[in-house]
Amino acid sequence: MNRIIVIALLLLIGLPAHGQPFKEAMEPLVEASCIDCHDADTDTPLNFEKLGHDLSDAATFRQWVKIFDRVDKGEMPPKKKKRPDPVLKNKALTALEADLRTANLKQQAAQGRVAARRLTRLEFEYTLQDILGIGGNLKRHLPPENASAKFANVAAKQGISPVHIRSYLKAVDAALDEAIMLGPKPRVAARVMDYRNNRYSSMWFDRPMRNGGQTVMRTDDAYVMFSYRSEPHVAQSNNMGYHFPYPGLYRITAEGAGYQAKTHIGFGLYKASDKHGNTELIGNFEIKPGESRKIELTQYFEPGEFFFPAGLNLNTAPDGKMIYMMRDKGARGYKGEGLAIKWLKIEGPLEEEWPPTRTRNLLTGVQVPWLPQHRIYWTHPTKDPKEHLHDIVKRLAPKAFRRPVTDAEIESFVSLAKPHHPKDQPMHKMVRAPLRAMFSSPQFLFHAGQPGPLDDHALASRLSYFLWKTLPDAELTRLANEKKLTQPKVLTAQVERMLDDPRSNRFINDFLDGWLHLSDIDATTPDPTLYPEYDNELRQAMLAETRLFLRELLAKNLPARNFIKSNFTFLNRRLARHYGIGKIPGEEMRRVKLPANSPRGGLMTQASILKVTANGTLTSPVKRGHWVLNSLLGTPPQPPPPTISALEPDIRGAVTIRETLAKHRDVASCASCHQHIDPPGFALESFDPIGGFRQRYRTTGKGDWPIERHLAAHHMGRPLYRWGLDVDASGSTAGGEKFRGIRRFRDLLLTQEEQVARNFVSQLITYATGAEVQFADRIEVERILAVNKTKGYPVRDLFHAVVQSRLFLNK
Amino acid sequence: MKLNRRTFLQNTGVAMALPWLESMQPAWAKEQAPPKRMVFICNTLGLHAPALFPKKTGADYELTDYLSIIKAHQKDFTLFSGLSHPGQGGEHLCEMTWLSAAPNPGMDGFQNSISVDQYAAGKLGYVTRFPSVSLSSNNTKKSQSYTNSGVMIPAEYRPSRMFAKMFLSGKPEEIARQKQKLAEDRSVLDELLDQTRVLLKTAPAADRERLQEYFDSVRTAENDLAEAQAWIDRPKPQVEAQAPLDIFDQTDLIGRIRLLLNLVPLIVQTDSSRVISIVIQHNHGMPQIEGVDSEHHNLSHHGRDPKRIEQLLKIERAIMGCFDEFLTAMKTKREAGGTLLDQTLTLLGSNLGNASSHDPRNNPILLAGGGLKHGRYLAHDAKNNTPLCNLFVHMLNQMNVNTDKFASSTGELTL
Repeated sequence: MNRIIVIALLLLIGLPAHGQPFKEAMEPLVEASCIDCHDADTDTPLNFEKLGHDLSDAATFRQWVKIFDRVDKGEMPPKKKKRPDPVLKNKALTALEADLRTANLKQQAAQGRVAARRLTRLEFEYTLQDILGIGGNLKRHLPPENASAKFANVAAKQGISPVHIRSYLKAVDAALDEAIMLGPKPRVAARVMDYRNNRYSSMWFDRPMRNGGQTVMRTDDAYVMFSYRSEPHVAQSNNMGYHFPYPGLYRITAEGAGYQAKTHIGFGLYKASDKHGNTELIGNFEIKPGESRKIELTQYFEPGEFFFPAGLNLNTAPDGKMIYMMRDKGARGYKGEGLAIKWLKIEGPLEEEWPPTRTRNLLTGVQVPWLPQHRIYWTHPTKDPKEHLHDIVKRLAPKAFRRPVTDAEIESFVSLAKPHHPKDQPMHKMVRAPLRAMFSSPQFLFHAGQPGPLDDHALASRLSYFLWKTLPDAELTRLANEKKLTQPKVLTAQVERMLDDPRSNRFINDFLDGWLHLSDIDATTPDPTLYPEYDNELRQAMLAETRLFLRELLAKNLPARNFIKSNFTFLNRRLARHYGIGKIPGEEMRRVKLPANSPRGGLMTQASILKVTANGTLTSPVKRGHWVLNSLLGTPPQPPPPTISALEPDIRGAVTIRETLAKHRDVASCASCHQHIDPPGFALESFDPIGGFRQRYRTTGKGDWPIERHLAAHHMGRPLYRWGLDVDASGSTAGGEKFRGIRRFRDLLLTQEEQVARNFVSQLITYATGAEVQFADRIEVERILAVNKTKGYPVRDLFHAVVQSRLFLNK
Repeated sequence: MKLNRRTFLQNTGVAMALPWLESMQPAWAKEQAPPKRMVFICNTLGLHAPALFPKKTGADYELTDYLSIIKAHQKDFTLFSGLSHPGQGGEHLCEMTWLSAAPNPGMDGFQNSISVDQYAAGKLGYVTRFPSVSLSSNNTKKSQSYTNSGVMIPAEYRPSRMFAKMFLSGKPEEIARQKQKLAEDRSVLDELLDQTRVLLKTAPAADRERLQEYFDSVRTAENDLAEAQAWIDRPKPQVEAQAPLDIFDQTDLIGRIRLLLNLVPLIVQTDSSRVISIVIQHNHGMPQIEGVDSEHHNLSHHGRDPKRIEQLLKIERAIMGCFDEFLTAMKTKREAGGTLLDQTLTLLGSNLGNASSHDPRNNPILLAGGGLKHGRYLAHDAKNNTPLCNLFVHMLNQMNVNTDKFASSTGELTL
C-alpha cells in the first residue's frame, strides 16, 4: 500500500509543471459568488484581487486550502447568499483540490514533510537522563517552548536562538555534575526524624501561641499536626537538620494514624525547594479512622530540596472552634482531626555502590580510588587518557546521535579535550568538554535527514521519541542495526512492546498536555470562596483520571466513541466524592463502572477538562464550546472578525451568560460560527469551574446558604458561598436537535464518532511526526479511518495504523 | 529570622545612596552626556480603565483614582489612550507580543518576532555589561523579550541574583575559574560551528534553514561570550546598597514588584544596562493586600461585579503606588546635572485594555521621563487605535537607535 503511494508520488513529481488549471476553473465561481464581499474593499482577511495563484508560496497555499475547505463544507458563500451553481462549484473544487495536492506532494518529495526538528525541553531532559542515568530537572535550564504551538515538537513552530545555545551548555553541565559523583560515600543507615524530641520541632509544643507555637503537639507515642496550610515549616526536613547530600532516589517510610479522626484522613508528603519556590504533593496515603498505616515512598530529591509531612482531608472541630481560639491549650484543646506521625525515616541516596554505578559506567575502564586526605574519589587512567576519552565518546555518541557514528566524528569530539588539558588534569574534568559539545551539537539536538523513506535508525528514533520521548533502547537499536525495523510485522511488535512499557506514560502525559490543553491545569486557581473544596489531591486525581482513561482505551483497544461517552471512568475516594458517585475506597485511582444515567464518562465531563475550559470563578459556554469543536472534534471555528470585541461577562446576577450570548443568535456574522460553538457550551453549563455537577450557580452575592456539612465544617460552621440562579443547560444544536442537558447532548454527539476519530488520528500524526496534517496527507487519514470504521475505530489499532502510514515512515 | 520589609527597604532599596567611584567608569564617561535608557513595565492583567483615564484630554485633565496616586509626577509623564497593537487576540497570549507586536498570537501560523527592547539592545550591543535586562514578578521566568527568531529570553525573577551579577565581584580564584569556563565554552562553541558546517553541506534544503539558524545562534552566543569575557576583566561598579533579600512568598505580589523596581535606579545609575523590561504577572494565590480575598487573575475577570472591582482597584492602586515610589527614586538620584528620570524613557502599560473580556485594544499606556515634554493626556481613537509601535519608534529614536519603522508602526508618535 505504502509503496504504491510512494510510487504514485514519484510519478507526480515526474510530471511536467502544468500551469495552474485551478485558476481558470475557480474564476467563474469567484466572479459569481465570492467577489462581491471579498474584493479590495473587504473587511475580511480574504481579498481575491490580491490573492495570487502561486501554490509554492506557503501563505498563498494556506489561503487556498482555507477557501477549498470553506466552500467544500458549504460555509461559504454564507447561508443567506445565493447558492453557487453546483456544476460550477464542483468543477472549481475538483481542479483546486488536484492542484493543491500536487503542489503539496511536490513540496513533500523535495523537502520531506518535516524540516529538521529540535528536541523539545522534555525530550532533551529524558534523553540526557536516560543516557547518563541521572534524574535531575534539566528543563528548567532551557528557555520555554513556543506557547502558541499545540505540541512543542512541531518543527514549524520551533525556534532556536543564542539563548538556547547558552542554555544547552548550562543544562549539560548540570547533567554532568550529577553523572560524575566523586564526593564521600553517603551514610547507609536510615535517618530517623524524631519530631517528638527534635530541638526544632519540639520548640513549638510549649511556645505561646502568639509566637506561633502550640499548633502542633505530642502524644505518648506520636507527633500530631493539624492544618498544613498554617504550619508546614514545623516538620520541614531541613529544619529538622536533614539535608539531601546528593541528588538521587530516597526512600521515605513512616507510620501514621488519625488523631481524633472520625473520617478517612490522608497522610500527605510534600516536596519543596526555596531555591525554585515550588511545592509539590508527592504522596497521599489514606488512613482509616481508628487504624494506623505504614507508608513507603521512593522519590528523587536533590540538595537544596526538602520534604515535609502533612495531614490531608482533615475535618475541623465539630464545635467550630479553631486552634487559635483555644487560648492557653492550643492544639491540646482542639477537637478537630489531625495526623499523628508515630515515626518517619528517610534513607538514601539509594545507590548500589559508591561512586554510583552511573559514574563508573560513564568512566568505563578508569580507576576511581578514594583519596582519604582530600576526602574525595579521584580518577586514575589505566592507559593513555586520550584512549579513555575515545572509548567514552565511542560508547555514548551512537546513543546521543541515535545512529552509527564514524571514527572521524568521534575524533572531532575527543580532540576538544586537548586545549584544556594541562598535564595534571584528571579524567573526570577532561571528559567534560567533549561531552558538553556532543550534547549541544546539532546531531544530538535535531532529528534531521534526507527526504524520502526513513532508514531503520531514523525510524527507531522517530518511534522512540513518539512513545517514550527518549532515545531508542537496546532492542530498538539492535533491530535497526539488523535492518529489521522497517518490516511491518517487526514494527507492529515493537509498538506493542513500547505501549505496554511504563515509559509510554511519558507519551500519554505530554500528548494530553498538548491535545487537550491539560498543561493549563494551573493557569487559574479556583476562587477559594466559591470553590473551597479544590485542593492538591483533587487536582492530581483530575489529571490522573484523564491520563488513565486514555491508557485504558489504548490498553483495551476500545472504540474511539469512548472519547465522547463511556460507561466507565477512573476514580479514587476524593474524585468520586467530587462527582457525587458512590463510595470508592482509597487514594488509588481505579476503574469504576458508571451508572447508566451518569453525566460522567467520556472526555467532556472529566473534571480536568472542565477546569482548563473555565477560569477560577466563571464558566464560559464559548470557551467550553470552543474546546469541544477544537480539541474534541478538530473543527476549530474561525476567530471572530477583528472589529468585533469579545463579550464582557457580567456576573452581577441580573443577566445570565445566556442572555449575554443571545447577541450571537441575532447578529448574522456571529451566528454563523456561534450556532456551532454555543450549544456544547450550554450543555456543559451543568459543570462548575472545577468540574462539579451543579443545578444552581454558586455566588457570593444574594442566594441561599448551602447545607453541605463538610463545607460547613471547613469554615467554622459558616459556608462562604451561596446558591444563586438556576443553571439552564438546554439548547439546540446547529442541526436543530433540542437537548435539555449534557446527557442528551452527549448522545447527540455520538453521531460525530467518525469526526472524533479523525481528529484523534490527526493529532497522533502531528505529534508522532512533528508536522501537522497537510492537504495531501488527508487521503492517508481517510484511508486509516476507512480501514478501522467497521470496528468502531479501536484506539490501539489507530496507533498501529498511524505508525504504518506513509506519513510516519517518510521524513 | 524574618526582616521587616519596610526597614529593609529603607536601608537598601529606594533610599540608598550611590557615590560615584573612580573605579566605576560608566561606559558613557567618555561621552558628553549620560545616555538615554528605556524601561518597559507591563502589568499583564491590565489597569481598570475607568479608574485610570480622565474625561478631559490635554494638559488640564482631572485626576482620576490611579492618576492621583502619581500626581506628584504629573509634569513628568504623558498618558495615552487609544493605542494598541493591531491584530491581537488569544486571550492572555498577547502578553507575548506586547513588545514585539507580532500579529495573531495563538493562531495557526503565528510566529513571534523581535521585541522592541531586544531590537534596541541589539543595536546598542555590549556598551554595558548587560545589553538588556529582563525581570519578572513570578517564577515562571516568562519575559516579554524575544529574539530575532521569536524565542523568549528567560526573565530573572530573583532580584538578589541580578544584584550579584551586576555588583558583586567574585574572589580571584572564582574569576579565574569563570574565565577558564568561558574559554572552554568558547572552544566548545567553535567545535559546534565546525560540526554544523559539515552537516550543512549535505543537509536537504528544509533542514538547512534550521541548521543555519542553529549555526547563527552558536556564532552569536560565541560573540556574546567573547564580550562577556572582556567584561570580566573590568571591575564591577561598587554600590553601598546591600543585596536585596528575595521574597519567596509568591502571594507578596507588591513586595516582589517593589524589589524589581528598586533595581532599576541601580542599573541605570551604574550604567549596567540601558534597556530594561519588567513584566508583572499574577502569581497564584491571593495577593497580600488589605481587603483582597481573591486571586489577582480571578479579580481581573470581575464581570462588572462592583465588589470584585473594588478588590481589583486595591491591587492596582498598590501597583500604582510602587510606580509612584519608583518615579520618586528616579527623580531623587542625579547624574551630570539632571535626574535619572530625565534620561530614562519609562513606559508603564498593559497588553490588555480590558482584562475582564481579554480585550487587547485600547491599552493603558503611560510614558514617563526621558527628557520629553510631558504633562498631558493624549486620547487616540478608541474605535480605530493608533499602533503602539508608533510610540516605540519615537522611543527608539530618542535612544539614538534611529529607525523610521518598527513592526506594525505606521509612523512616529512624537511628543
